[in-house]
Amino acid sequence: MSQAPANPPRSGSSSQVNLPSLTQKPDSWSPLQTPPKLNQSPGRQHIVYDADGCERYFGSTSLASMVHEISECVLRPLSMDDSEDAVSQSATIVCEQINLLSTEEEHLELPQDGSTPSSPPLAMLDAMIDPYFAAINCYLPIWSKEQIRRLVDSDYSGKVHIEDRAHVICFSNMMLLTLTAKSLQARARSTTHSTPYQAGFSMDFEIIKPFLANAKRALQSLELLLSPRLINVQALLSLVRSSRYCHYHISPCL
Amino acid sequence: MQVAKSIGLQHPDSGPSLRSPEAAQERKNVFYSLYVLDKAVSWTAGWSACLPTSDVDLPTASQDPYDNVSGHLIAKVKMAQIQEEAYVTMYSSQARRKSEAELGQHVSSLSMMLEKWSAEYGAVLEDETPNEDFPPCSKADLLFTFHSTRMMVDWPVYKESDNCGRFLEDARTCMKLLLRLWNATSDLGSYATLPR
Repeated sequence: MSQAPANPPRSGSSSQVNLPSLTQKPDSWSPLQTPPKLNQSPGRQHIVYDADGCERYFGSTSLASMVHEISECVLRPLSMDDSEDAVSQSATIVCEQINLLSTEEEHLELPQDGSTPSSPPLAMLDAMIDPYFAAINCYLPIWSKEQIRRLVDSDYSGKVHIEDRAHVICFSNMMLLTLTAKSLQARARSTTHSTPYQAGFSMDFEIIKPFLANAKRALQSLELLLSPRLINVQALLSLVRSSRYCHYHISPCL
Repeated sequence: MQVAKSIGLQHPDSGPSLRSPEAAQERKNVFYSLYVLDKAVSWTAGWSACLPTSDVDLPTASQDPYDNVSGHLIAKVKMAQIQEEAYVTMYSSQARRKSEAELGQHVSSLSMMLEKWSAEYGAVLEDETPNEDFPPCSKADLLFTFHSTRMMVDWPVYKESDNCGRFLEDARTCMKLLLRLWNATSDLGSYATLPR
């Protein structure tokens, strides 16, 4: 899933959830028995036409295909079933929500003005390094803290600010990942504790916007990151990670 | 991916011995991150992976495993291998031409792989005491990956009475885990995994 739940529960103690234990022996079908009979081919591909009329292909394991399949095979028959009004109404509502989700996909506009990614301000960058490495890098260790500190020192300490494209993209995406996570965290806190945070959302977006713009500029000239350097791999990895944060379907570009 | 291959990242232990341990560790972390992300993109976009397991030098059980790579990343790499196998054998274009019996065999073998993974990591993931190797919300993240992958493996056979219950239970567990990640407001890192 690429979006947080629309209406998370307000209780603050809902981190306690009862989950089935992985260490229990499976009480259902044992894999050593005769293989089970198949009911259907798993999944179907899905073609979507974007705003320009171009075809976009989604394989059978993609969210788009599975959502489409649920809508067609499960929800639509339920919504047409007159025998259970409540179920039918709920299924209709879910169908509509799914269609809304599918059509809300933002068309990615890449800048055509030839602008290049710009370095983040040192003060902001410095403030984000510790939170990023304390809480986020551990999930997917693209960089090491020592490496980032070394690059920041070498690029920002001289009289002339050095702008290596890969370094700039790494710094910018690190900022983007941290700021987006903080924004989501603030939003979750406001819904969990029933405190309004509406004003904060627009401010968050204004702060994150320049780093999103940097990511788009980087995508526009990806060929500059294709020379055989480890930092280029790290910059490209961080672009993929940022794209998954920001709901942009830019994986084909990478 | 081509850039990574051009610098030999798919063979983490190769390269000049003059490379410092920190540099070597950094290359390994980058490679395993790349491997995991490649499989995640493949799975969520419904395409084949760009870095097939056959083309990389992942450590075997008999070798010194992953040096200083975190336990969390190792678990992710092993799950990514299972996901790739599931995609190739069940959801790829070629898989569509397989007979029911062949697909059934793949469902069996993938289920065994998943059970082996859960036997290795189940106890750690269910233990709530803090663990250096597993960041706070990484356990929920890995559990979610396990249950959602098992659903994709069980999908063709979920109507069988033995599997229907497990399929539904996996779906409910995934929803609970998403809520747990959203509500873990004290941990910034949980919001790193939610979008995925």
